[in-house]
Amino acid sequence: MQLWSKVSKMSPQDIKSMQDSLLVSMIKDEMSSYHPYYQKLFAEKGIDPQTIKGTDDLKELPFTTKKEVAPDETDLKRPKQFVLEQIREGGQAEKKKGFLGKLFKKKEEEEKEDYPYRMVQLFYTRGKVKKMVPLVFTALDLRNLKETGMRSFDFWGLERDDSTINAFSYMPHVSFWQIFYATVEIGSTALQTGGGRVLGAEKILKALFNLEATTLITFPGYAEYCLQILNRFGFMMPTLEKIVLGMDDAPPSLIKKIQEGMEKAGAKDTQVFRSYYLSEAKGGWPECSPGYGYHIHPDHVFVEIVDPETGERKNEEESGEIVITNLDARGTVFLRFRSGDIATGGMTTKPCPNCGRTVPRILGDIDRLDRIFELNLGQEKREFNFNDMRRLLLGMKDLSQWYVEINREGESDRLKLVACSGIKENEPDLDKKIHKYLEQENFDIPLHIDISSYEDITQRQGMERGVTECRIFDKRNK
Amino acid sequence: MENWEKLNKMSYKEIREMQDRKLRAFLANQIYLYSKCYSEKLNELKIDPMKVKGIEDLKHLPFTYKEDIAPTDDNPQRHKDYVLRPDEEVTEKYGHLAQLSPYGGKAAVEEKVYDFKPVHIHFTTGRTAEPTPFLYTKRDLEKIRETGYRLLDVFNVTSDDVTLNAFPFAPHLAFWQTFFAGEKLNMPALNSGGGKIMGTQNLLDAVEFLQPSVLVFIPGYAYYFLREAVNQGRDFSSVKRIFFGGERVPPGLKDKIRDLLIQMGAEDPICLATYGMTEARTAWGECPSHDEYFGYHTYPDLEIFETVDPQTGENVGEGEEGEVVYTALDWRGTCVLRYRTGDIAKGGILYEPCPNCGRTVPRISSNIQRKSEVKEFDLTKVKGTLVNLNAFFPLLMGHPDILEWQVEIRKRNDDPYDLDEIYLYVAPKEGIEKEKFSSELRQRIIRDTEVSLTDIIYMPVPDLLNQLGMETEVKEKRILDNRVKA
Repeated sequence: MQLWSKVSKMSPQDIKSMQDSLLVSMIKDEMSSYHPYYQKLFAEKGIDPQTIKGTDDLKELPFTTKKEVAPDETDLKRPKQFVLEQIREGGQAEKKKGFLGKLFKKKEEEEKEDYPYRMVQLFYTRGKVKKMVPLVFTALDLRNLKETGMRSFDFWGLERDDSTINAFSYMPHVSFWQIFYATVEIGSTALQTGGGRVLGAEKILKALFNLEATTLITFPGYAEYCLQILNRFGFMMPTLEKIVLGMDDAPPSLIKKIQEGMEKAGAKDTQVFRSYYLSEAKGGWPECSPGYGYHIHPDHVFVEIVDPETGERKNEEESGEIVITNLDARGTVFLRFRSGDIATGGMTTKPCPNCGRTVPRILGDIDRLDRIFELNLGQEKREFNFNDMRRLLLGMKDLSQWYVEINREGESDRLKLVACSGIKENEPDLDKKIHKYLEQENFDIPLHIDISSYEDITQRQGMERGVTECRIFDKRNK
Repeated sequence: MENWEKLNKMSYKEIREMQDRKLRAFLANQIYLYSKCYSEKLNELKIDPMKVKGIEDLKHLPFTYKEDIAPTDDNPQRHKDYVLRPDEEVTEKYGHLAQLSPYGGKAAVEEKVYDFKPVHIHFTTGRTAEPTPFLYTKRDLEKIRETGYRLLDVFNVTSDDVTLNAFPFAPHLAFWQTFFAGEKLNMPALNSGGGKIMGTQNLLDAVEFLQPSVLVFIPGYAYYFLREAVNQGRDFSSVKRIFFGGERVPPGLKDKIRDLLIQMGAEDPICLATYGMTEARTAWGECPSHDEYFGYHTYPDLEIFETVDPQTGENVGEGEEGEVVYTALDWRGTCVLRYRTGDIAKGGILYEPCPNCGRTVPRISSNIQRKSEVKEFDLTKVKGTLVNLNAFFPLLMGHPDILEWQVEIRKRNDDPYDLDEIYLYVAPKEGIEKEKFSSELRQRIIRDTEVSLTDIIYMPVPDLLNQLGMETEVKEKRILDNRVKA
């Protein structure tokens, strides 16, 4: 990766030409010779890698989908096809140095030669839909992960004087590890908790208090949950200045709620930031401030936004599916990988009006394709976009916790919302309020509402067990 | 830190001299200046740190106990008194000359202060006291990386190995020591977080994908995991070593685990044990051998070990049984002096070169028991029988016919004033004759623990695994003390 101070000020033309050159080198030097899957694909489809001169030519290449990558019972080693071969004949440096270079080369240098290709850590995708996919990270990838982490800290103004609680749920996943590497690199005090599934909310809140932490990093649902507990019991956390959210989308309405929760806990000058992590991109993209878009690292990854149906590339700021191509990575690498995530505001190459950085930005909320369901309502079939419903309910003022079930009754599907308004007691007529609110927001799918206790709901969501909380349960055919 | 290769060849006398020198410097330049608790203690005892000559003088210092550091309701921040930190007063007092210095001046002093800034935290597990934080500075992270490298060196692990770290993820030493060791060696690794994080099935798939040569597990989970792998016909032929932490590994369990690995194609796999403690912020490895015990190899440039009589606190001789007492050398962050570990080294500390590998560093004998696991029971009308719960582990873990087990201690009729009862839940191997098995087991338990079981309850493996929390707890619950309190 390149110098961030330079990359963040490059013009769109310069970024494009940098990406063109990185892509050509990636395809020519790496994928066409050392990537088992793409080598085979190029041969099968008759694609000449030499004809790819830049990112515009990517349109000629087929997409890679989760199906092609994910292991299954018949082939547990399938993800290995996407790993660049580690052993190279000769080695780049050796070729360049010639005979004399080889003669005088030190052992250390020899070891360094294979470092970009040598696996050092194995990370996994979260496996929301398919089996978890192992992703090989080499020393170069970890160096880049640290760099993207440091860039994120630059966005969020995190410095070595900060005390950080990393409450991303532990997984061998880029989100947790990016924060770990960045906190160590910057030298700030940090507790790597592993999230609620490891320590539980009580210990995390105690740690926040005892460390006089300035920053909490966690997934949106858990940030809200922690603040609800703090607020309910009247605990104060005046040192808390920043909450960084990742691993799931946080709509603006939830960010507002979280900010209010922080203020209630005595925090001043509060700031909430978001970050979008994509395992296959081998890093996370931060926002400088909510609503200004996730800032991409253009020297690390190339992003396209495409129509999820046709696969056609979308214009700037048009909603579509996020597709990534690794530009500076080793180990597991992808060309045109379809993420299954929708950027509702598309992508822009205009400079950020908030921070002035010129890198491309992904705008709007991030919706997940696997959160769109087809419902059989007896008379008609309807598309149920849970992303929309989630946005609405997370923003509803009197609603504290909730989840939705899709059940089958006879031949028809039924939606059930289980909700509560507070930790101790529920407001009277909560169900009526929810119906009214959803009606006002034009949600017109028939919905049954059950009122339950805070404890039962958070238990069902797996708030303290899961990687993130689960708010939708499709119970049909189960 | 000294060079590990050099340390391994130093004579006893050289090691002792080095430790004397380091202790003097550490006490005078770090502990006395920057540790609130110890500077107060030294002042109270009128010990001039400049006059401490070396290890011989350690005995004049008081012991530090777990309870001294653990947070209490009245003082939840007590651990901070053990953290080396130059406060404003100290910086003012000793930093003025440096600030005036033309070489760096004020900025240099500020940087120096940052050297003491904690960047990483581990907690004790909180079995016997509240979980206590132990802090690492950036400099300490270099140390834990180096000690990790040394531990792997003792185990003959190199950067060509591939590791599956299945220690449960937590801000605990075991997981992180393994991570930092791998990082230092630049060794390919999956730091999985264990079954609770990834699930046993995903971990089994990871072995197929990764083909690791080194497995790192807590013993109880390893035994369950490997049985599951055998049941599924998995290929573990790549595995050469499995090492354990978190709890002791009885010889019988080592044999059972080795057999399972061999069944899955591993050639001559070796089981290795580690000994570590959060308070020392590092772990030590046992010299590898199939059937002999050569002890845990320590790092004499980073710590001083003593063994003392647990009752009197008097130092015991080389090779004599005693409680392990730890003193930090040259660390930053949380540093403890003469820390009573509560661990009894049956064979004491050995200073002779290791007969197995020839390294000359001090060795702690392999047979270590936790003193704190001795509990008082009212098993008969004569109250206050002392039972060593440790004794259940080698007996039941190593038993060739037992797959899983759990001991539960209850009050009869759940009446807090009634007698204590001890139940054994057990899932034996298929085909055993229950009556004969129960009778033999009862006899062995009486022989090893001097207590008689109230009952033996047979359970199917899945139910018992559930009860143990094998996939849900950080560490499975082998002994449950469910006695109702009055």
